[in-house]
Amino acid sequence: MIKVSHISKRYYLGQSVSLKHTLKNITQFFIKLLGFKNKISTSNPDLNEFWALKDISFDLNQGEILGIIGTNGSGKSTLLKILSRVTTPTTGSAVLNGRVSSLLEVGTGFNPELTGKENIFLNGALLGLSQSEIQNKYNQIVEFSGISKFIDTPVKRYSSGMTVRLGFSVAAHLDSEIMIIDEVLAVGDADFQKQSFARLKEIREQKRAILFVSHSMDLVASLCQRVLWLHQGEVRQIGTPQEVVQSYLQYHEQQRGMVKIAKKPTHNSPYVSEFNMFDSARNRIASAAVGQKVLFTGLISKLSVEVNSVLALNMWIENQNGLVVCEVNSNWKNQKITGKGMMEFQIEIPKILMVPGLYSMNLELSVNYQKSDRSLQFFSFFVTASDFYGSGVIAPNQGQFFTDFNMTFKLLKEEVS
Amino acid sequence: MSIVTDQKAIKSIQIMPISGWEFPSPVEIWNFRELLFVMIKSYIKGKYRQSALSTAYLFIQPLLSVGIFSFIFSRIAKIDVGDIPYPLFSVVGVTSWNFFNRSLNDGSSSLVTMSPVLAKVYMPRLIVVLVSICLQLFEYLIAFSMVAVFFIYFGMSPSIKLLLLPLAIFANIIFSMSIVLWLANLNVRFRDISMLLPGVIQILFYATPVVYPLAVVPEYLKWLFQLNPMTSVLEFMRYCLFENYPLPDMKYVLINTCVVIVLFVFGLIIFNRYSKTIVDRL
Repeated sequence: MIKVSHISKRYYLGQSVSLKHTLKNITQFFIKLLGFKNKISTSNPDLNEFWALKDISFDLNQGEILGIIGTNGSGKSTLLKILSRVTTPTTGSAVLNGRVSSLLEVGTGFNPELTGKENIFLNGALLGLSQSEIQNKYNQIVEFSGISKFIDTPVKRYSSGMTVRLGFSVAAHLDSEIMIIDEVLAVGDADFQKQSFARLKEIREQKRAILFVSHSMDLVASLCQRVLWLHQGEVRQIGTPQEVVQSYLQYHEQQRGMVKIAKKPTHNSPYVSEFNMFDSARNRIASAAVGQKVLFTGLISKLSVEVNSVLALNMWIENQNGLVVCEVNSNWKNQKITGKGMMEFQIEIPKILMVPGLYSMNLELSVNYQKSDRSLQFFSFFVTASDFYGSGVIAPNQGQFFTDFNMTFKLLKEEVS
Repeated sequence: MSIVTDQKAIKSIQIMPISGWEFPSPVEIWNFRELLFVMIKSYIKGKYRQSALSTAYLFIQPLLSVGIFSFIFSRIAKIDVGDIPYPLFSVVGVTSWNFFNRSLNDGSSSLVTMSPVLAKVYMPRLIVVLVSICLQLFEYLIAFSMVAVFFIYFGMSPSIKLLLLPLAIFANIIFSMSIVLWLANLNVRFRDISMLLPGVIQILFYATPVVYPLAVVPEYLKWLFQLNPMTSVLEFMRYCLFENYPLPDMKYVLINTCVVIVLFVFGLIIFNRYSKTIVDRL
């Protein structure tokens, strides 16, 4: 449905020469018009060129969601702008088969003087819906927005939350074959986000082609079939969400340095100097499947425990929302940490039970119940879906954690028909 | 599902770098007609719903101007406008000039004003200019209805040449738009344009036979005055309305028509090229 071939986009940094550039272009036009050979090159050496996108190519098929990830400035928005035709590429081309709706920002083009109802029609038209289509969907849109009481009130009297709801509701009811979605889920309250997410999943079922840009690795991993990682204007990797998100995270952890706590405490207290995750074969990993056995090992430096003091190691795992999903502490098993010098530790988790998603690992070392060294988010890791129950079924990522279960069924009375 | 939607469904969109110089696609503008109407309707609703005054202002402002000019030109300066009552003479010029003035001011800043929307969703950029012109036209036609009221008030009947009036109004629209096409894009690069424009138009107002007839212009300056397309538009308009008003010199009308056509055609082409990447320059 979408075929992007070799798209590049050049920007000029600085702008003071634009008058010159314009005049040059216009003279070029007249030179061409008069039939002279166009010998003036199009590139302009006076200006600082900046390639926001370099040779981007990819395909997107019907019914597929392609996630696009990358840091700020990696070219994500430029790519979306080109594909939604807000601007043009410098070189390269793309073909989009079908109507395109781009949802780059909710509530674009609302007129505050108009009522919610009138704005639905205006916004719908801006997003490419015909008036009759909006008429048909009007009731659905209003119902989805949850602000039917205020639908005849001018939008200028809406709270910002209400405006966002209205905007997303119109956008969520677009039915074009190709949708370009940029971080729209990051709006509204938790309830509305949940509703929006559900709607997005619904849209996914409808066999459309969706381009989805997000900073939420969780969302990308759970919604998309494929992920494209843009890095400094180039496609760094394209593949399954697990592969790409994993290497994306790995890359960023390397950039940051695996161990965030690089600043060593100045005083002579023990600190964790290294911390990594391994699988049972002792390979370093950045993701683990549900049910997999994982090992965490690390080093404690400058360990010097006096006779009567208590040293404890505490590790906890947070999900993307910062919620602690599980915690382990050496004190809870009454383990003593003693010695002097450098110590290696190992934490074994026989089975990862969290639902698939992105998690962060945190460590804390305390001496006599006082923290000596604390680190938030030592590293992030990815829990991937797996055949947890060994039944051949990939368990979906619903709920918060997995548990073993047994279900038994016994037919009490057989009915003969 | 209707056939129309099906046709839309199989439509394929090509995204290409800007290449060469071409006209905006009329087919594409036609496909976006609904958006054009919705935008115009929304804007008008938004503007006139809240205040009864903004409707009244449509009439009050030109009436005040007509009152002032009537006082100055027919009581103090005693300009000869033949058998036409001066207020009737000037209301034609004032409303038509207002359209020209507002189209230029509003139209030249239209792309910048709409930029938040243009940066997010696609529409042919010409739509923005068309919306702006149509809004001004809507107000123009309402204000121009005063001409009829003035005819009745002064007990005069318009000439049969009235049938040519739409042509004069059309000429006014095309001339305004041809300038807007140039200014709208330039204004994105050089914001000074929207600052300078009101002053320039103010000077042009006195240098154009808006509230006085061309006949009172000194003979040695007439050629210069007549090279102004707005002179042709207004003189022709008055020729259409008033029985004994002289036909403007057709030689100059022809020159001006050619100038406007060139401005308009090249305006469209250059507008089309530069408005495509407007978002990059905002």
